[in-house]
Amino acid sequence: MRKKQFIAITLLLALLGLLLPVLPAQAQGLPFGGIVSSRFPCTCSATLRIRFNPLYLGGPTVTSGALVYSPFSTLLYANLNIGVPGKWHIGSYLPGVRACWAIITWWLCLPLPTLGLMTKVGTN
Amino acid sequence: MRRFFLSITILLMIVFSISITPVNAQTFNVNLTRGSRGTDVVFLQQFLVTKDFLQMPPNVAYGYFGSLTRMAVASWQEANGITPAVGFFGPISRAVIVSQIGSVVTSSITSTSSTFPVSVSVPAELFSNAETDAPTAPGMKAGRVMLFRAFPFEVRPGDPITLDGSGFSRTLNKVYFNGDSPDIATSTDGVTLEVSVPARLAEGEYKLTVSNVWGSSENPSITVLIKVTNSPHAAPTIESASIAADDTITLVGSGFTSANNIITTLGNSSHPISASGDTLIFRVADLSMYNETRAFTLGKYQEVLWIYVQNEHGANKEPYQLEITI
Repeated sequence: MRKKQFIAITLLLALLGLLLPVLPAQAQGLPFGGIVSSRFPCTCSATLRIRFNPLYLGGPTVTSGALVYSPFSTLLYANLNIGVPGKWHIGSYLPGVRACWAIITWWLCLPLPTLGLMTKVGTN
Repeated sequence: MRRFFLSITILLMIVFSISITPVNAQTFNVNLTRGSRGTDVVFLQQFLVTKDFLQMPPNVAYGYFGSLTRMAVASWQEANGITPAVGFFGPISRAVIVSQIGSVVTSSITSTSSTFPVSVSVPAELFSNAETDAPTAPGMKAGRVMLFRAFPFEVRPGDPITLDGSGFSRTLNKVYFNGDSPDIATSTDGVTLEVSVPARLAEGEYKLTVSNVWGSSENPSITVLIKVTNSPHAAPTIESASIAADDTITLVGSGFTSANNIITTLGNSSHPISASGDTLIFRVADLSMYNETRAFTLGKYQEVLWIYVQNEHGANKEPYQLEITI
C-alpha cells in the first residue's frame, strides 16, 4: 500500500512540476569585451552606439564592431566610463536588437546597424 | 485508499482551476475625479475616446483626470441618464460602465462603501494593460510613444506608409498629419504602424505625430515628415556595391540624384559624390570616422560597412552591407 502511495505522490509531484508556471530565464545575452574606439549618440532613440576595436565575442576570432548602450535598460557597473575611447568594456549583449536611431537630416531618423544591445556592462 | 485518491483529485482540480483563472480583469476600485491619476484614468479615457466623448489632444498624455476628461465624463453621464452629470466618476458611473462594457465577471456593490469595487472583464481591445497594449522596444524608454521614421517619404494620397518607432498601441493609435484630424491605426508588434495617407491631403509636406495611451510622440528634436505629391519619386535603392583597390566604393542602384549624402557605419561622406542616376562613387577614406577608426584597426580588420544613400526623395529603407578591410 505504502509503495503505491509513494508512486502516486511521486507522479503527482511530477505533474505539479509540469503545471507550475516556469519563471522565464532572465535574458542575460552573450558575452562581449573590448576597447572603445569611438562612440556615436543615437539622437532619436537617446541611446549610445559604441564601437569596439578589438572586440571579443567569446569565440576564437577577434573582431570589431558596435554595440548599443541604453540608459533605459543596460545595467552599468563601475567604473562608469561608458563609451570613453580607450577604456575596456566587458559585459553581455542581446544580438540583433535594433536600438540605435539617429537623426540623419532634420526630417529623418535612420536605424544605425550594430551587433546588438548591451544588457550589462562594466568598464575600467 | 479511496480518501487518498479523493484528496489527489481535489488537489488536481485546484491546480487546474488556478491555471485557467482569467488574468485580464480590470478593476475600478476608486472614485475618479479631477486630479486623479493612474491606470484607472487611462482605462476610463480610452473608454471615453472609443465612445467619442473624449478627444485627447496630441500633446497630452493619458492618465491624468483633467478638465477635458471631467467634461467628457459629464457628457457621457448626461447621455446615459446619470445624475448629477457633473463629471465625477463615482459608484453609479462605475456600475453603468459595467453594463456598457458587458461580460461582467463579478460585481460587489456596497451602497455604504466609498470604494465600491466593481470588477469587470473588459474587452481586450478596449482596456488592456498599457504595458501589454503598447510594448516598448528593447533599449527604448519605457512608457513613451516614439516615432522615428515614415517610409516611403514621397507618397500619393491613399498610399500606405510604414511608421517605425516604439510604444505603439495594439489597439488605439491616432496618427496626425500636421495636427489634422487623426487617423486610427493599430500595431501588431509595438514598433511598426501601417497606415494609409488620408485621401483628403493636398500636395505638400506633412509632419507626422502619433498619440496613444502613452501620450504623444511630439518631440522638438525629431521631425518625421512625408511629402504628399501626385508624382512621387522612389527613395534611393542600392542593388550592388563593390570596392576597388584604391578604396573607392561604387554603388549601383536607382533613385540617385545630384544631391546625395552617404551615411555609413564609418560616418558620412563630406566630399562631393559623382552620380549618374544609377551609379554612385565615393572613397572610404572620405568617411568622417575613417581616420579615428583606422588608428585602432591599422588595416587588420574585416568590417561590414553599412551604407545608406539619402537625398531629397528619401533614403533606402535598409542599409546595404559591404565587407571591407580597414
